Amino acid sequence: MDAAADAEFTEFMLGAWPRLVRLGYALTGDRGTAEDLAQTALARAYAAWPRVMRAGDPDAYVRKIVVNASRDRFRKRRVDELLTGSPPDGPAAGPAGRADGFDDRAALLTALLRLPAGQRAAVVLRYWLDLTETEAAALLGCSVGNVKSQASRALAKLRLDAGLAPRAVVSECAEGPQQAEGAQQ
Amino acid sequence: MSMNDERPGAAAGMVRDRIEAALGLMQPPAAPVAAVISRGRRIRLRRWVAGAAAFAVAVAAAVTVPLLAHLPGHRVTPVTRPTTPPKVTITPIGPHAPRDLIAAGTINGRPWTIRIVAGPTLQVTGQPFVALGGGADGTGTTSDPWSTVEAGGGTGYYLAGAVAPQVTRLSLELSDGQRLTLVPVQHRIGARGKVTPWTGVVLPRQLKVTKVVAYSRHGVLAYAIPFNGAGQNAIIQNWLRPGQQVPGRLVRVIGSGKVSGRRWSVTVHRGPWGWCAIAAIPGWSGTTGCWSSAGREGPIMSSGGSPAAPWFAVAAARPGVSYVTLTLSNGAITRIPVVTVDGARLFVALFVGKPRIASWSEYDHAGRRVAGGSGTPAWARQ
Repeated sequence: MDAAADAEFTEFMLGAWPRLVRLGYALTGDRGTAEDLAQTALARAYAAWPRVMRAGDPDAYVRKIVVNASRDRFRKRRVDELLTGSPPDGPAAGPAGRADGFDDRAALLTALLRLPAGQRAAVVLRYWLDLTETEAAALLGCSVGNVKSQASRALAKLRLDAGLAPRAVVSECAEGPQQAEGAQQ
Repeated sequence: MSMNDERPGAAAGMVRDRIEAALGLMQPPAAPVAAVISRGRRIRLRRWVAGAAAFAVAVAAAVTVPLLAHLPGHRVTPVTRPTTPPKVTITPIGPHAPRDLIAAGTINGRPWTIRIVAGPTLQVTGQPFVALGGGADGTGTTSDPWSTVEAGGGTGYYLAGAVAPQVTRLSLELSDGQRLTLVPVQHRIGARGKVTPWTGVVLPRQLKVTKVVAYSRHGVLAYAIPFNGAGQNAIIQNWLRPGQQVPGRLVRVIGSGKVSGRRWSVTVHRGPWGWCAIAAIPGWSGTTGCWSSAGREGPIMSSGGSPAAPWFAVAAARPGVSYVTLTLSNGAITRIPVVTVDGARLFVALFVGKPRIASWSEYDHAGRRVAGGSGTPAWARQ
């Protein structure tokens, strides 16, 4: 691959890396595994870069690898996880008394990581990545009905566990100096 | 929020924003670019070897190992660990600082400054590159929280520009996790210019600005996710309010081909920064055009022609236009399809040398001519 293609891939990777790692983390609950999945996906994309670019959607290409690889990992590790019952990695503890919505975000993240893998994957693909039910079903290798029911159950659990409700968003924005909500890389 | 919808509705956007904010607590390390590229090359090499082995099974076992070590362009490099990123600091500008100084700081202890000098021109000093860029608007007014120009060379780049009056500070998040706070400095351009706030920062090339948050005395005013794709330096052009729905990211090639035997392409990147089109065309380096709305019509960017480089134009078509034709002065007719990318209707025209366009026409999907004229269309003019 020539220098221009390398530079193009590098810029793509710098933009895609944080989001891919977070996707892997959302799907597996493990930070180290998430980084491995993201590296694997990006290395495969690099190996096939000209073809990936001709297809026109490198984001979808690497996302699919991360999702598939996370499912394969889960199948291999499921027995171990059931036996040990160890909880997934949670968010790093923040400083006490922060008035910037950290506790709400941490509570939601913990609740998200506690969801069963299928529900977590459905809600992440549907509501974080904004995929259609058909796209999410294709990526997960299940039916559209399955995606609907998994996502519905996941949202119900998140509402109970983490107070996931519109009024919580409005009240955060009305406070004083705070971290911005919304998109982060 | 209806679970019967194929795609989640507006209320689900709040769910997405909450999940986005929660996942934002997980901060990835710096992207291990070198390690990934090295691994990708090994994957490609394994595939090449597997393919070659199908045609030379009897020989592969005897010569594969020494062959791998001597393939040109496929040297296997060891996995490298990410190096320590450079440390950037901001030096507060005190009341007794020089009048033309709007920003100062250090990179790994080496100082840099940004001044507005006669012109008005932004002067960046103290780093291996010295950028004398135009773009310091004579009025200094802006409707955006921070209206930046960016430029660079060699090992670094700078962002600088006028700040909206209600902005008290800007918080920059960098790709290695560092956060910088910029406090605007009041500056008067010229003897009679209005006093307006300005600020800026100089950064090493390997550090990207991943987010900018503008604060007023009431809290968060707006934020922006810069475009850093294809070697660009933090193009900031789309400011978002907290809670505002953020456009998803996508990358699409809207035109490609070969000219004089060399490949060219135009790629569109859509994301929180808005839209940016990157033209990778032989003879032109890093040509980028950015805009904020999918509904834009008209020119995005165009080049002049030259003997050494093709002439090209990237533009957004008006609604209903399915393809465009150009008739050149030599009688040749080129048909250019309009590519739809999530609501944006884009097309690319490219010629070798500098053609004279005799006439142009726009057609709908049924082949009906909906617009046209003689000479160069407005979307193709520089």
